[in-house]
This record gives sequence, structure tokens and C-alpha cells, in this order.
Amino acid sequence: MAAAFSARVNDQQALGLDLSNPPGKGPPIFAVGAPRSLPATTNLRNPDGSFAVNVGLTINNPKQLQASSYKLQADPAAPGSYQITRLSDGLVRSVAEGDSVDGFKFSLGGATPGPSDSFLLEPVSQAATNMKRSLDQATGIAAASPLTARSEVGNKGTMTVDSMYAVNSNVDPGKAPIKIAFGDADPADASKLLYTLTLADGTIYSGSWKAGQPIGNSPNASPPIDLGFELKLNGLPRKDDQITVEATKFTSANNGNAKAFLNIQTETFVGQRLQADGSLAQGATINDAYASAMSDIGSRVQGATYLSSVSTSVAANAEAERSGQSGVNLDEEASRLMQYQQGYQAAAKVLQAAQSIFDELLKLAAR
Amino acid sequence: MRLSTANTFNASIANLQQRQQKLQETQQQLTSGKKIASASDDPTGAARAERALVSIGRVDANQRALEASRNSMTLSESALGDANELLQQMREAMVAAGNASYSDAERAGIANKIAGLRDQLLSIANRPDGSGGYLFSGQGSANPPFLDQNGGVAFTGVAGNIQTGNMDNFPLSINGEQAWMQAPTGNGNFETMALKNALNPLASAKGWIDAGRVSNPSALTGHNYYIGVNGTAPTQTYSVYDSDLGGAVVKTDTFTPGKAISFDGISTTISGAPVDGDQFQIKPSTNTLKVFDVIDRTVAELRTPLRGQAEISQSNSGRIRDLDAVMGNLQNVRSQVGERMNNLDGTESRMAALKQYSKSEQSAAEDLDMTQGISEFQNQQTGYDTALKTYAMVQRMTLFQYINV
Repeated sequence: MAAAFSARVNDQQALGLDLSNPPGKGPPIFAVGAPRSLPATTNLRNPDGSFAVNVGLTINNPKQLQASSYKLQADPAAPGSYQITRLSDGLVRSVAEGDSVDGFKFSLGGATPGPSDSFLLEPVSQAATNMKRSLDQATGIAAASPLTARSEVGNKGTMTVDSMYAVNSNVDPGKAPIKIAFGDADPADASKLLYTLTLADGTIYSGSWKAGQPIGNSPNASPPIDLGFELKLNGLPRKDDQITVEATKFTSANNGNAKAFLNIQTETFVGQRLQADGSLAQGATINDAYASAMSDIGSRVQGATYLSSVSTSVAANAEAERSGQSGVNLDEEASRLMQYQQGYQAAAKVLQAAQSIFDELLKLAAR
Repeated sequence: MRLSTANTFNASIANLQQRQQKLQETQQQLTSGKKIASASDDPTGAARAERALVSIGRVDANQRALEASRNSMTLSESALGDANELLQQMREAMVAAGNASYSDAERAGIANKIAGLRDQLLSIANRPDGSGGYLFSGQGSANPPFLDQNGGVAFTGVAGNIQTGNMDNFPLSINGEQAWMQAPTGNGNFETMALKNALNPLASAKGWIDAGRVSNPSALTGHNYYIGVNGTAPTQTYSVYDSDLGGAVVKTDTFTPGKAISFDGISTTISGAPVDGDQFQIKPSTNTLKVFDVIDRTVAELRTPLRGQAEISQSNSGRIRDLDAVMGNLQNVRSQVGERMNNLDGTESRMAALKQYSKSEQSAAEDLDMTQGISEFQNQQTGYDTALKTYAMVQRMTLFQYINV
């Protein structure tokens, strides 16, 4: 969660403009602990004692990171590929070096690992403990969006600009000014409107817009429009209405990127999982991930507390048994003491009587 | 079964300690007022409380944005009110300038008055919002958004407005371009004006055309028209040409000054004494009328000496029509601002309700029921007290008390 959150914030920060003079990309705000890999002690070693093979980890898609460590071994069935076991649920996958697994990639350095070598990969275990803020100046917060949109004067429809911010690094203020003009209804779907997008260098894209859909970030449409920004509109445009997208002139008054930060609250980017059929399961929002992590820990502690109380009572019973066998009850000892005391006195009395009988006998014999 | 004395003592001590620990826990719950001190006390309750806390945080952030927006909107509304006052004063001056007995000097005096009001109006347009920006700066401007330049006052900001808000969108600034630079020309549908005489390009028209009105909205075409007057009085005719249809004649009839000329849903009146060749133009309205351009033009025309009566009447009626248009536009923006402030009030009460709901969710999940807590505490207290008393009594009972050895 820490790794996914800080990567997301840093990415959005890099997409905006900060208050430095001249405005530039926002610097990263958070720094998290690096991933690490630990070799097993039985792995091959060099003659000088260091490990022959080392594994490097890089995180390439923080949204898909899972809260787990992994075990890496050479795959005995397919030489050249490796087996990765996810330790949280035991899922075993066979991957090649350089594949992206659960959001990270591993690379091997040094010699080729032997068949019995294994490594423990921990991409996120250090992330939260070593998370810290790496931005000290308030002017570094990139609240401004690099592009601003405005609707033209002559528009006859009821359309207004709702929000405009950059979403990935394809955004390029050099392509501005961009003009978006709306046309007729889409013949394929009457609820959509066709529009054409003209860049500053003359490239023309066309697409169809539906109320609620952002413009500028549809890489899966045909033709794909991947301009790196999302423009959201309110209201309904009419034919020939236009919007102009320009590079932001007054960054100190613009808050487009700050609104993008706000949207991180509701974005499900923690722990997305790649399903077997290649589709991406939804992750959780940051608040849900935190609440569920907290209740997960709480219920584990609850379980542990319960187990501890069970074992306390087991120990108490065992102790009672043991001391019942080998311990001492003072009342019992005191009464036995008196009993043996009296027995001793009685025995001593018998001796006394025997002695006086002997004395009498000897007196009789001595006459 | 035999009980070892050591075991008995140990068991009693353990029991006492357990009771003491429970007592302390209950005491802690009572002092803090919460029944969940750590997540392990009630994991699902803790998660519920956490979600409610997040919701409260979001509402608080939204509330702050709403306050900022309300501040800005209040200031903007009063600025627009002040602007309306000034424009009203200008209009009265203009109406006075229509007095036919005024001489050029008197009209120049009125022009000076209007020029003075113009400066005040410019400072209202550049009014700051108290936190470093300007009320009418739209999507941002570094300097005052309205700059007085050679060609008139220009808007140096970016059109649109800045929105803030976590869960909703609240406006933080007004689109200055729309308020001050985009009033509709003419009467909202079309604009009328007098042109120079077709036969004598140096002479201006001797009649004047009024602002016109729409007699039949469905017949409007939105084309450009020319009305030409032919002949000399009293037998004059007029012809209406549609320049978008290549100069085709739309209507032609005898011309009587002051009588309405109707065609294509438009009805207009030409008064005065137009001569042969006088032309008037009708073109569709655009949203390009600028407040300061109107004022500048008014002042310039009032200061022009030696104008004919027709010119003066045309100029006065035209400028009053333009002043009405910009006042109407500003009024429009003002009522939009008022509506937004209404919206803010509604949103505020809605958010207060949401915060109340989240707080009670949180309280239900993690707060202690005081009555229950207190009675539990007293129960445990009594239990602990009893345990201590019985321990003291039992511990004294040993055989050695009765053996005097």
C-alpha cells in the first residue's frame, strides 16, 4: 500500500507544474524503501565467500504489487526459466528473466544459478518502514496542470469545462494549442457526438464523445487518441461548438493537477491482480486498503490473544497437576508432623519402658 | 486431590492479577470514552470507525473549499452590483445627452462625466479577491486582468473559471471575459446601424434607424441585410437587400419616416429625413460587445463637434442600446453568481448532514456506552474487593494457628 500510494502521488506530481521559476515538473514527494532480495545460505558461493549469483529487483507497475514475499528458484522442468512462488497464497508461476510479475521485474547478475539455489524476493517489505517525505519546499507541490481548456465565445450549446489535467507522461504542451470541434451525432450510436481534435502541427484525430467520458485519453479506441490528458465536460455541446486547449499561462492560479490529486482518493490502484485470463481485477482504494489492513492486523492480534489465554489456562492446569503430584500442602505437613511427633514420642516412651524393665531385671540379677 | 499450598497461593495471585487487569482496562475505557483502544479489541468496528473518519475528513476539506468559494462569490456579487450602479449613472447621463437643445459644449461635459465613471468601472473590473488573485480573472492572470491599452481595454487572463472542492465543484473566480467582453451586440438578435450614403460616400445618413425588434421569431434567418432608401421626399421607396443571398431584394415598398418596415421576422423603423441613397445595415448579433469599448465610443461620439441631428439621434439611440446590452449581460452574470451562492448554502447544509451521519457511524463503532461501562466497572470493582477479602480470610487459616507447639 505504501509503495503503490507513493508511486501514484509521485507520478501525478511529475505530470503537473510547480511554482518554481520557470515552472517545471513537480519533484517526487515520497521516497519508500527499496526492494531487496536475499539469497539462501546454501547457494553457490564464490571462492572468496560472497554469493555467486545476485538478484536485482525493480518495480515497474506499482498498482499491481501484492503484499507478499516471493521465492525464486530455477525451474527444473524448463531450463532457462524460473519458478516464482508467491508466499502469501502459494501460487507458483514459471517466468523468464525480465518478465513482469505482480508489478516487479527481477534480473540475475553474476553466474547462472544452480538447480538448488533459491532466493527470497521482498519487493515491498522495506517500503513502509523506510517511507519518508523527500520534498521540503512548499513551492515544489505541482498543483498546476500543464494544459488549460476553455470553451469558445460563439458556442451555442450548454457545454462548460469541468476539469482538465494530465494523466500520463504522453502529455506534451508543445502540441498545444489544440482545437476540439464537435460535429453531428455518431451514426453508430445516437447518444454520442462526433468530434475532431486538431493539434498545433495539423494532425487531426477524430472520436466520438458521450456525456461523462473524458476526451484525450482513449488508447483503446479506433483510431487511438493517446495525448496524455483527460478533459471532462459538463453540459451538452452542439454542432460546431469548439474548445481550445492551450499550455497554461498562469500556473500560480491553476489548480488542475490538484484536482487530479483529489481523484486519487477514489481510484482503485492498490493491489490490482492480473487474472488467469489476462484481465485485471480491480484493486482497492487507499482508504479501503488501509481499513482492511488495520482490521486484518486487529483480527490476527485478537486470534493471538485468544490463543494466549487458552495456553495460559492449559499451563495453569498443568501446573496444578504437577504441584498436586510433587508440591507440599502445609496443613497436611503440619498434621503429619504432629502425627510423626506423637509416634516418635510413643516410640521414645516404649524405649523408656524397655529401659526401665531392663534396669529392674539387671537389679534382680545382681543380688 | 491434594492441593499444594504453593499452588494455592499462586492461583490466588493469578486470579487477583487478572481481575486487576480487567479493572484497569475498564477504567481506561471509561476515561477515554472509547471501547476500542486498539484494533484488536474489535477489528470490524475499528475498520468501520476508520471509514467514517475518512468521510469526515473529506467533508471538512470540502467545507473549506466551500468557504473560499463563498467568500469569492460574495465579493464578486458586490463588485457586479457596484458596476451596475456606475453603468446606471452613465445611462442617465446618456439619456440627458439626447436633449435636442444641448450644444456641443454641454455634450462634451457629459462625455467628461462618463469618462470619469469609466475609470471607476475599470478599477471594479480589476478588483482583487483578497488572497492574491482577481475576482474577474477567469482561469488565471498574473497582473490585473483588464489592461488599458492603445486599442481599448483588453482582457489578459484566460477565459473560464477556476473550480475547487473535494466532492463537489465550487467556483473560485468569475469568467471576466464573459462578463465584460461578451455582451450580445444589437438587440440580442440583430444589430442595426446607419452607413454612409451610397451616392455620396462622404455624407452620413440623414435619417436614423432604431434598434428594431423581432416580430416573428420563427421567420428569422440570421442573414445580413441592407435597407436602401431611394427617391426624394415625399415619394420615397425603400428596398431591403439580403446580402447573404447575393443582394436579392427581399421587400420593397413606399417609404414613410417613422413607419415600421417588416421583413423576415424583423421589424424596424427609420425616422428623420433620409435622402436618396441613404443606406442602413442589419447584421446578426455576435457576442463581442465589450463594456469599455461601448463607453469609449460613447465618449468619443459625444465629444465629436458639428454633427447633424440625425447623427446625434442615431448615435444616442445606438449607444443607449449598447449600454442596455452590457448592463443586461452584467446583470445576467450577477444572477448566475447569486444562484451559485444559493447552491453553496444548499451544499453546506447537505454536507453538515453527511458529517453528522459519519460522526454517528464512528461513534456507534468505537464509543463506549457510558451506562454500560460504569455498571461493568462497578461490577468488577466489587468482584475484586471480594477476591481480596476472601484471600485475606483464607490465607490466615492454617493449622499452625491452632497448634501451640
